[in-house]
Amino acid sequence: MKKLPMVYRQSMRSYFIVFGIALATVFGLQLLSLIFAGSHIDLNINDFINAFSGQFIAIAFGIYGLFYLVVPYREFKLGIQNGQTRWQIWLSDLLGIVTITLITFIIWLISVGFQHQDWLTIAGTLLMMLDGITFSYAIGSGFGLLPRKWKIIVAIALPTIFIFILIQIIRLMVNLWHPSEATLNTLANIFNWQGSWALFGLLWLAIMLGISYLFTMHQQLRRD
Amino acid sequence: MHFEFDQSSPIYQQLADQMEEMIFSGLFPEGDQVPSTTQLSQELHINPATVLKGMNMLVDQQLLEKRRGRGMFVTAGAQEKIMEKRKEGFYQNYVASLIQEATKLGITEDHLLTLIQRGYQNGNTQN
Amino acid sequence: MATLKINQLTKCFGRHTILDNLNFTIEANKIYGLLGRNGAGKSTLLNIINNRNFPTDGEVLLDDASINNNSAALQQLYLMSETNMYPKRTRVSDMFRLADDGYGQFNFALAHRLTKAFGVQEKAHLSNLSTGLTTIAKLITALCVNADFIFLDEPTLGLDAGHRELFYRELLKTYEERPRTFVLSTHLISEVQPLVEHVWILDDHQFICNENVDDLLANAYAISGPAELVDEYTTELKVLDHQTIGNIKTVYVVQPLDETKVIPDRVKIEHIDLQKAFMALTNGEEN
Repeated sequence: MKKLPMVYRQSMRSYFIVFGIALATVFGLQLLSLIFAGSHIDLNINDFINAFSGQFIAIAFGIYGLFYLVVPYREFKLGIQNGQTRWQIWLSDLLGIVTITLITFIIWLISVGFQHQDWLTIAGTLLMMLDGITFSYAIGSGFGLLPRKWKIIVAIALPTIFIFILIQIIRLMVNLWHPSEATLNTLANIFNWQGSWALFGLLWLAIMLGISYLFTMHQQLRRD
Repeated sequence: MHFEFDQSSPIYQQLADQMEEMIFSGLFPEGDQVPSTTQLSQELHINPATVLKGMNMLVDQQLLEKRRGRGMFVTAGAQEKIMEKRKEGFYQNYVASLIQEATKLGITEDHLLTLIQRGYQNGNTQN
Repeated sequence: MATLKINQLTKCFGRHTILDNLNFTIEANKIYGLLGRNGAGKSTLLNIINNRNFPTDGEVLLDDASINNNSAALQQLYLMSETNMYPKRTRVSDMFRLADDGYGQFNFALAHRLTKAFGVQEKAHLSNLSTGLTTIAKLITALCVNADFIFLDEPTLGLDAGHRELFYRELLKTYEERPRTFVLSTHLISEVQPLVEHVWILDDHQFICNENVDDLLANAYAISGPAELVDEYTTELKVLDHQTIGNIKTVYVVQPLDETKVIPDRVKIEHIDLQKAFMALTNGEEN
């Protein structure tokens, strides 16, 4: 059997280590708080499990969102040191994204109760998760291209510019754009139609994949 | 066995010269196997291509022979060959330079001959 | 046998040209020395050959196919560099495993033997090791990895004399057991001189020397004697470097000498070693 790509295996190894550490930490903290609050010893196993899973799920989602923001340049260095091409590194990252999305998705399904959800919510959530993590991956690989100084500059400048432009657009719309009622209704319909959200989500996913591909293909060893 | 290299000439040349000396002095007896390229290269930290070049110089002079799959051996009569070669070079290497140096020091031909005779006498009494 | 070709390679950082139109070939199963003063661009060149950085112009070909994003090619190239390529909590044993994951057929038996010989703990974290031991861990990985072109950038950084000797011996040993190409980029020229077959000297953004070591040294001379006689003898030669003590002048040349020309009585001509030739060629004040 052909081995899985080297970078993918390495990413999963470090992901599960972080995951395991988080699990152990939450479990340990819960246990400690239980012991310290142990004056009234009504050990309720259900309470314990509820509190534990609540916190753990929050942390699992945190790791999920942040992981690919942090790893791209690290994986690039490991990959290129060990004979992997940029293309293989990108594919490994995508495979990693799919894997940890599935894990987090299953955690989510269990936590909200599978039987209470309709398929639209389930599919919508999955798409949203993919949109989120590919966004973080695209940013992460973009950061990989930047030296440390520029990373800080861009991290501050980009959101500022984004918010500034957004405010300007809203201001312009309020001041200059006076749509007819029919246009507003059409817009409302578009917003209400779930299909348009799905389309937007897919489009976003495609754009993020494209951006991350471009960034990864241009990744180089930095001199800092 | 001791090899030592300086910058006077290429390393393969020095290796060949020093192995020749070892054959001449009987350190590597005729018919015996000499260390392999691999051994020499690893022991002396010399690129195997360089070692091979030096060894091949000795093969060309028929001091060493390759035996297929077994390595390099000192040929029969190698010492004799070296002796012949050195005799040929003796005048150029020793006599000529001796006379040159003697001339610089203002030692006359007669005086030089006396010195040589004295050298022989000392050598004989020592032996 | 595979060969690497470097074609019209140029690299600029901003307005600074680091490498200017390099053209050369790296053949299979040879040990090369890559020499150059600090900042000459040796590491940049190695990074480009190993697809870690992109050239500004030109290309690197393995068997006529560009190595860029070429998996088959990158599987044949391994670069051990000064830059740390591993995450914080990497153990020495992890480096071996990663090289095995990436290239396959890692020589674990040799790696275990070498960690013992060099005295490195395989369980040790890379970030806790001294400079010398970090170099050793990287070196062991490089000697055991399954690739045909091994590039060693500063392979002796922080190594003591004993460990360097051991490294030279083990390098030749593995080279003879499984011939492949090694490129050594180092400042310890006199130590690697006997190891390398072919040498490149990088100076002024270009190769000023791309030659077999024996051929280079066959034409490398120190000519010394009374200044006026030396000057007279060397009028038609390209004097690379000179040194005067009192009236005694020594000049260094790297070119064939005219054998018909009579050498004045008090002028002495001697061969020089690679270190001296390197300094003459790069015209350095380096000691």
